[in-house]
Amino acid sequence: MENKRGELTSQQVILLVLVIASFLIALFFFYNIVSDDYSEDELCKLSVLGRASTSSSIKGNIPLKCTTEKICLTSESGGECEQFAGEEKFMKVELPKNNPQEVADIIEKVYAESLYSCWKAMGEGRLDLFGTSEIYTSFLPGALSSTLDFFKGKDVQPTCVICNRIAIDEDFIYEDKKNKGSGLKGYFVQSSTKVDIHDYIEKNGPGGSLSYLQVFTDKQITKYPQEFLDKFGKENPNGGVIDEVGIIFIQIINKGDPFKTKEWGESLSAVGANGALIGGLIVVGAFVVNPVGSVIGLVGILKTAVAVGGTTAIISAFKDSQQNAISAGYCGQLNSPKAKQVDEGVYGCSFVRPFDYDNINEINQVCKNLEGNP
Amino acid sequence: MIKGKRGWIREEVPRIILAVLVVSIIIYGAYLLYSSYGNQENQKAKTFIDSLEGKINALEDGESNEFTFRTAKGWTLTSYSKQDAKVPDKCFGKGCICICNIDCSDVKSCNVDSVLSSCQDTGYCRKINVENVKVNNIVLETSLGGDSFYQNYSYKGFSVELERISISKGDKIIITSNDESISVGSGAGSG
Repeated sequence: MENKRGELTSQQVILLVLVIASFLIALFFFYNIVSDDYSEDELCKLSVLGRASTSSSIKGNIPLKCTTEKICLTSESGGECEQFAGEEKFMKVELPKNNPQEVADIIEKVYAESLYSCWKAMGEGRLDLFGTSEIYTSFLPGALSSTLDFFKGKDVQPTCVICNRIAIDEDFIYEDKKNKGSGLKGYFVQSSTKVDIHDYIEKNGPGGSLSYLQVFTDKQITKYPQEFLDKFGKENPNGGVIDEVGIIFIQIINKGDPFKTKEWGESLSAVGANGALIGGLIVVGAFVVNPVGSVIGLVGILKTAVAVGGTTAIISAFKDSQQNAISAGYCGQLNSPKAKQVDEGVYGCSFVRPFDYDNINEINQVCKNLEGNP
Repeated sequence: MIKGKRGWIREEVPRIILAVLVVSIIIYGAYLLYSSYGNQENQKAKTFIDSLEGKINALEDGESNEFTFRTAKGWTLTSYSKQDAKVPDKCFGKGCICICNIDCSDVKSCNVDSVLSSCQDTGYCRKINVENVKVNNIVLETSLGGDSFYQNYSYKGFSVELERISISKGDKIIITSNDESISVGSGAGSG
């Protein structure tokens, strides 16, 4: 049959039908997932994958169905965490009453598992989850050598998801929770001094043969480098009691291929990384242990990897409170529908980090947008 | 000629139907995406007010505590007591807390009437089993002359994702939040 001008060919019709069908499937996928059929964890992972495979311009409209998991550590079977008063669906983890070492082990386990599950759920930081449509995306190669202050005021919006909130029952911490000045319980002090997250992450894993440390660093590091051990002790330098911790996933995005620039090459050599990625990182305070075991400044990593504003807040947050808090990170190219086009690949850094949940100024400073369900 | 018309109809009608179908699906999809964004915002506001109500109910009489809340950015928290002259219809007869779709993060850009109007139209309100409920948004204001004073507003606009809010429960419920300090031209209107 002769193809008249303007007439649809069978090939075009099939293509059209396929486009419509995939559009309908996508709509069904995003809006008609029945919550009862999936666990919250599965729903979160599905929505993360949905986000990652969607174009930047509509990412914000695809709901991220990740709900903050609330964990209450309490020493009594009927104990409650005041932090979750009036909130539904929180998990209780019972702490033993006369075994400080076991208490410490449980806290370390909950903490490490929360970091890991958040990291896994968010695609190990390698997926472009929040898009670049609302942020300043121009890559500024000439400005890489400038101080971070140069970038202040640029419209970059690191976006966060609060994966977990881990709270400790105030009855477990204080002699009298209604009068917190009354002092801490001896048993709590005994237990908390035994908590060593760094050690737990090095010696334990999520299952299988790999430790958390290996999982977070692309299987590259099995032991902390000596330089790291020299830098960080076990004491919390700020002291004080943090009765609730938020495990928060942070992503900050840059556009363009930073690896093409001379500055990146130099920075990568400086940190000992080769190839196209810096890869999985362990961040402690404002220092980073990279996949080849070098201990480097977070400022250097962020300055080179992200190279736009918004990083200052992250750096100060990492430097300030909880200097010994351990986090996982990734810097490099993010998987995105655009990533196939090398010039338009999306680059950035992702971290999963614990924050003192009561220190809202620090969290608000870093997380200009929070996604997911409370 | 008639035969030609029939032929044209046979050829064009399926294409027109297909085109209408495609356009409808695209419009429907766009609508879903748009409404999804709105739903997320509304859901945040509902979750916040439910969480606040839950914490008020969980506190015992005479107890007070401070909590970290996930807020709804661009929305405003306010309260109405039973004896207030002007309250949203949904608050009639009891003390009430509301989150309303009006951006009062700049306290001076709103007043009690604009907040009430928004609460009437777009607010999510929860009745509380106490007659007197009060939102205290305490703002340190500095006048041009350099004098500083605290001003108390009965509404709190959210501009950040997390807020520390203290709740005191007794004969009346007081919900207190501290806003950023601001500079004012002269005097200050109270909420």
